[in-house]
Amino acid sequence: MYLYPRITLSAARQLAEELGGKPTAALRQEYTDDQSLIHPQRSIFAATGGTRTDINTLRKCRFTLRELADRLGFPDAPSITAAQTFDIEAAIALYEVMRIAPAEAASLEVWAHMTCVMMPDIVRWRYHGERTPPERFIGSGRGVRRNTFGRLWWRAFLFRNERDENDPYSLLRLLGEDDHVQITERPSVAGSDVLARQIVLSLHETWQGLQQSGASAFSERELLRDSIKRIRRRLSITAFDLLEPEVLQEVVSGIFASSASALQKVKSEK
Amino acid sequence: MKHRQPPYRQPDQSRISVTGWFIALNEGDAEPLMWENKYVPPLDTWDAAASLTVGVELALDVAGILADCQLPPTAALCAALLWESEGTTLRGCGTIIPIETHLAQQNVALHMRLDGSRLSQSLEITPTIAVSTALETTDHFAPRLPGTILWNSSRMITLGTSGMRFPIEMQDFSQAVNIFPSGASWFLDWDRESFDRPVHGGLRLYINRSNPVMKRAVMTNGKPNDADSRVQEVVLFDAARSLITSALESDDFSDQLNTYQAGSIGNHIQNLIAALFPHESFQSLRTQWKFNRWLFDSRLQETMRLFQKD
Repeated sequence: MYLYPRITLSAARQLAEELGGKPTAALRQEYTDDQSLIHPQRSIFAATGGTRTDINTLRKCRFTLRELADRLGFPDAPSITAAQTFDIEAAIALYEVMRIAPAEAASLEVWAHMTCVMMPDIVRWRYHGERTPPERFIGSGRGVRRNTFGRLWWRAFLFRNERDENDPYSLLRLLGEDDHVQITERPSVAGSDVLARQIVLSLHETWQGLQQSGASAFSERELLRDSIKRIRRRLSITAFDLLEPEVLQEVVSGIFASSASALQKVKSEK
Repeated sequence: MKHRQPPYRQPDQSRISVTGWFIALNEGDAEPLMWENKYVPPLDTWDAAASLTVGVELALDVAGILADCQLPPTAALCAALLWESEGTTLRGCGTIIPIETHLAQQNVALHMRLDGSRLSQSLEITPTIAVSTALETTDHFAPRLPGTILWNSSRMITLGTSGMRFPIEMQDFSQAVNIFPSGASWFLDWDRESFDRPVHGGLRLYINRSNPVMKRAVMTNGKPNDADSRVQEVVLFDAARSLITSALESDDFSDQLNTYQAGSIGNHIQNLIAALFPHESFQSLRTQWKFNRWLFDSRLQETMRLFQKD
């Protein structure tokens, strides 16, 4: 397991306040040398749990994300499409380049180092405006799921489908921002990568079926929201994690089918 | 604590006996840790590079379980160990063992090997018996849906040096002189403006591992001696003082009182205040603190019974 540099949360708060209002291009110029990869005065590593990552991996990480942002128009504020493309491609890049384990990726301090020390320019660009809120640099009450880079890594971790040899990240591309939030910001659902992946597969399969039959009077987003509510209600009495893959598929797809017919009924009654 | 009755029949607790638990770090490397009662000692020597092997043995009165749930002998039931880790929020399942429903009694050995890189802070292990595939039954209250939980029982294990109720990390302060004063013994790190953050993740107690007294006091394998206990008391007092006085100082905390979610730092502080000052309102404490904060510190020493425990 690779260990990544960290900063303390109290230092991160101070930096997030300072960096949140700085111009994007100025930050790019300021954060270019190796000192902003592992800062001699700010960076620490966890004492145990693996080996420290090397400077080349950190360089590659920053280079890849900056190149991606540049392709999408950095330093100009990204359009909605550009932000979505960034989120998908950056999630894949972070997962592939970092080779970080979930135990390390659960640490707010690791992602705060990446946002506040390594790439504050990308954070300001992705969440542009007069000020970028501190939660995009550090995280929030929902943990790393609000941190600019942490949330993307966790998406790639949850939705990476080993069984799809041609495109293991195809599930990432099936979801919009709101759909991602519906799943990844609910620990009861996102705690199980197997369940999270099955939800996306069942959503896609149910929605395609409805589209082909021309029967949907509601949106895909409404279908996901209603189905997630039904799944969460079942979680206290159902051990989804204990089901064999084919049974899990049957159960989750069944919930999506029930949700679709209930939504159809409500819409037709209006 | 609220007990929710599920909307289906469940077996009487006496039908299932847990006859043994064990957990081992890096299978074969160390003697397995075994326990019988609900208290599970923290795994002080754990780190994320290690793997864990967990085993639980159950003795099942299968005929009794089926009778209590009004299930036919053809019912497909299974047992497995479910796990969940608070720090990573991940969960999963060990090997699934089918229950031989044609037998009257069955002993089941549940087993799982966990990759330590998926775990952080704590591990909850829950042996579970559930319906494995959909059942046909005429009884309206019989459990019939796949995955329906018939029985479970959890144990929580603290991973690493968290024996002092805070997430703890050992650091050599002399190697990080610009972050921590090299001669300091500990540093409580948290963002004092974010009371909504979870305790596990938003609060970390850094211990200076180059200080042998501190190192010994937190690496006690759940068995601190008198000197270790005194050191732990002082650190806990200092941490409690830092949390409580930050809350008393904050207008935001005062405005958001009683709205913090379970597991958040805000909720933790609120519970701490309620436990230490059960008969005083937050506003009254705030006034006392504003009026004379030095006296308040001494009151805190008194309510925390600093150095008063034998």
